[in-house]
Amino acid sequence: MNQLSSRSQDLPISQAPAPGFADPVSDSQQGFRALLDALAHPGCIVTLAAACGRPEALDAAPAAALLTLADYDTPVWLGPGLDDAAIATWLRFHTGAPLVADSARAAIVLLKADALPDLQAFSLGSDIAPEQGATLLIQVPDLTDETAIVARGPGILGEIGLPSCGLTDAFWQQRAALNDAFPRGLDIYFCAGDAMLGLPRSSHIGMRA
Amino acid sequence: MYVAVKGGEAAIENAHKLLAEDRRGDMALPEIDVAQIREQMSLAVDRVMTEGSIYDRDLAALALKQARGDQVEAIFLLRAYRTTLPRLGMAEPLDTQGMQVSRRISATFKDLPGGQLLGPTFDYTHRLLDFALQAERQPSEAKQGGTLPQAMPQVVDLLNAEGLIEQECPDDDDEVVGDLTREPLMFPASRAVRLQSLARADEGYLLALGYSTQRGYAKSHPFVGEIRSGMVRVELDIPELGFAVDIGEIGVTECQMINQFRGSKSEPPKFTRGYGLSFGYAERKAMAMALVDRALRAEELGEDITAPAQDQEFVLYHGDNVEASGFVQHLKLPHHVDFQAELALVRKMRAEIAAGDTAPAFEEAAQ
Amino acid sequence: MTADDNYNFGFLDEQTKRMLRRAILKAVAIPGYQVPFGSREMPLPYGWGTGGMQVTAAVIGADDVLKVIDQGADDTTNAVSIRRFFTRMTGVATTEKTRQATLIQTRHRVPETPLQAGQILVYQVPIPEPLRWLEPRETETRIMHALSEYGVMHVKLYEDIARHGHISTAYDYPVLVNGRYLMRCSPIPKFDTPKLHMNPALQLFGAGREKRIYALPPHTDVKPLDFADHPFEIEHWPEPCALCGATDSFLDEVILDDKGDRMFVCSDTDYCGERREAGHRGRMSPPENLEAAE
Repeated sequence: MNQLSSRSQDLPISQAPAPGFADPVSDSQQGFRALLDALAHPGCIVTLAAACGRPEALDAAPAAALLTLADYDTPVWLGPGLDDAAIATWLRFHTGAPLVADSARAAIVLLKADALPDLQAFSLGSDIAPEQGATLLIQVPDLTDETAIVARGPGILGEIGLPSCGLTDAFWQQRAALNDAFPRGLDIYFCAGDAMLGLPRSSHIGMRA
Repeated sequence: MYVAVKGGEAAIENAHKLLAEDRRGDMALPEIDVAQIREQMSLAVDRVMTEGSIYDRDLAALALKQARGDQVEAIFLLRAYRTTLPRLGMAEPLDTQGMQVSRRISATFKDLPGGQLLGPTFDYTHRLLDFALQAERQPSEAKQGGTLPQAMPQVVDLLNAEGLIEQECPDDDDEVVGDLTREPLMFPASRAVRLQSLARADEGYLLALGYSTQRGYAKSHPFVGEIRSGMVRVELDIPELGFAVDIGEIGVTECQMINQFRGSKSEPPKFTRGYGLSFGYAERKAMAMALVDRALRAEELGEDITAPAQDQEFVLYHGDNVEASGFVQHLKLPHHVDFQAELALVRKMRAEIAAGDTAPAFEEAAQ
Repeated sequence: MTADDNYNFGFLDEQTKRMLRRAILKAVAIPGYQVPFGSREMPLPYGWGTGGMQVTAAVIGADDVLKVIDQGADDTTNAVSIRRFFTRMTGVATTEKTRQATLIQTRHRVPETPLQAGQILVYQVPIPEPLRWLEPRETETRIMHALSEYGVMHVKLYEDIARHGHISTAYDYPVLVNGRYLMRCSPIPKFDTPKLHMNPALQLFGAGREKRIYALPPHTDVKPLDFADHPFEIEHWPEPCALCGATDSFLDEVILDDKGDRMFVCSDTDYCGERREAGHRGRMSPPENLEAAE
């Protein structure tokens, strides 16, 4: 996990990083509780209350999530559209997280809805160590449209409808294909502004009958 | 009328007061000073530092005072304090070759470059209670010998020239040493992680396991290649500076055990090593650690795993006295809910037997 | 109450909390799976709740209201000790009322008062591995979980039935989580096991000495292992609670004298107290007028 410095993503480092949490102890605790809530209640929208400084291209929710979760032990991969110097500098400065070039080695992945790689690019973990499956933070346009996509499983009473999050059918098909990979899988947070919606690997994706 | 027992809070307060009183003992006697413990109970301090994983003589002495001399309790205090300390970086490997030795012996060679140096050892004392110590007195001054060389070669390295002993190569730069205090122990554990675990392990536990290897449970024909004690420099690599900085010196005891290895069809027989390191003069610990380290290399060296000391999971999961002491002593905590559940079950089963009402499955099994 | 300024909020440093939080999130995403984590030495001994305390320290915030119970009671010495620790390290409000708590740390019981959505229950776990008595090696049990190879547990339970006519596990009863992972509920009595099933609260389990965290998200399917002809059943008592008359709670047996006289009282002191306040009475309740005089 610590072997990454020599193979880091080759990004220029800009001069002054944007600010992070104003009160790191309290803000990251609140950030964590929001992330916990989101993952424990898949499909429900939670708000990240703590305000935090962030680079321009980054929404508040994924910014707070990164400041809450990332550090020296979490290799981060910045996806297309978010792999700029401002984000890299900000993340390195506030968290010390190593930026990796190989997406399959990332514990945390930052992505944008309109530039989403194939989900096979990320670590699903193994049957013996499923916790090594990656956490995806996907910045999306909004979380409000209605679709026929539903999720079932732990954290959900019955079933819950999901928004498309501006993502393609191909994405949702790929995610549905991971249903059977459990306990391997990806834990996804869809983020828009200061709102987020969690979709853990344990959520079974299907279509409303 | 029954009144449910209340007052846990008051009971705890009282227990703390009684503990403080007992710690102080007879008020007619002067209170023991932390500095006195540090200087005069120095081997107790060494053990607490070693197993507490902090090199700080004053803190270890304080822990011993607070723990009323209970070493495992003192080790626990130091470990809990350690949790609150930030990790600043990883030191460069210690250069024990450059140690300012105060003791250095080898059992494998009569004489060797640099010479044998007994140093402050119990080894050849007669264990007769010295009643003179009941009265205060000044120690007689030891005769100072000649000057010691700056660096002394490791005895095991003398065997290297002939290729008689295995080489110990540092890990590749790429492979970062694990940190047992930050990551859970997973199996199979690397040798670096095993050695960390053994360094923190209970001395008595390692002593018994090491002893078992001498009595036929994983016999490995050990010889003390060398034991050396003294001061070594600690260097910390500062990435921003691009070089390592000397941050001070610590006292350590190192034991290099030499063990036989029969070799195989493809490999000629040669000697293998077991390694032990402790803070201060914890020599018994370092020796026991070296024996167990060698035993735990069984798999790597293609030996049959037949004895407890060779079993990684067994040895490493049970050696930590802070873990073991906590879990053994947690049996003191109330368990009446579990006990009640068992009681209900046992009563039910007894009632059924008394009524001759054995379950059909019981008869099936009997057939 | 303000927190002790000599320590970070919740005692642990931020780096340690982050590591714990990541482990907790993975545990929630993989219900019933034991996530390894870098457990730290806490100022309380291993075996006394260090896992639960680390989970609580990672989760707790200034707005939380904390309840700590041991054996169902808020006033048992270890519960008092842990509650005092968090009061000192965080300054958060504490309560004995299950309904008022946002965060409950427990050893050996699930409160009788049903938990609500939004509450978090943290269990102290001594041995997290359900297969441990059947296979002492961690390397083996990890593989068994990876392959969902739980036949040995069914065999063990069946052998119990063959020998005793019963499954002879009275507490820490093995359950299957979401149809996938065999899980240990910590040493709660069988009586409490059904409460885990589809509970609206989030349940987190911390094993400090064994360095594992696992979780049950709300509304998770939790099924005790059993057989069609030997269904899972919970304990029953010959009489109601002597203080509040409850017939639906787990009862502690209290020995009254050396002639074998005994009484049964609720293990959950908050539940029992709440019932008494509401006017429920048991056979050993003091006379009304005496209680009114107090």
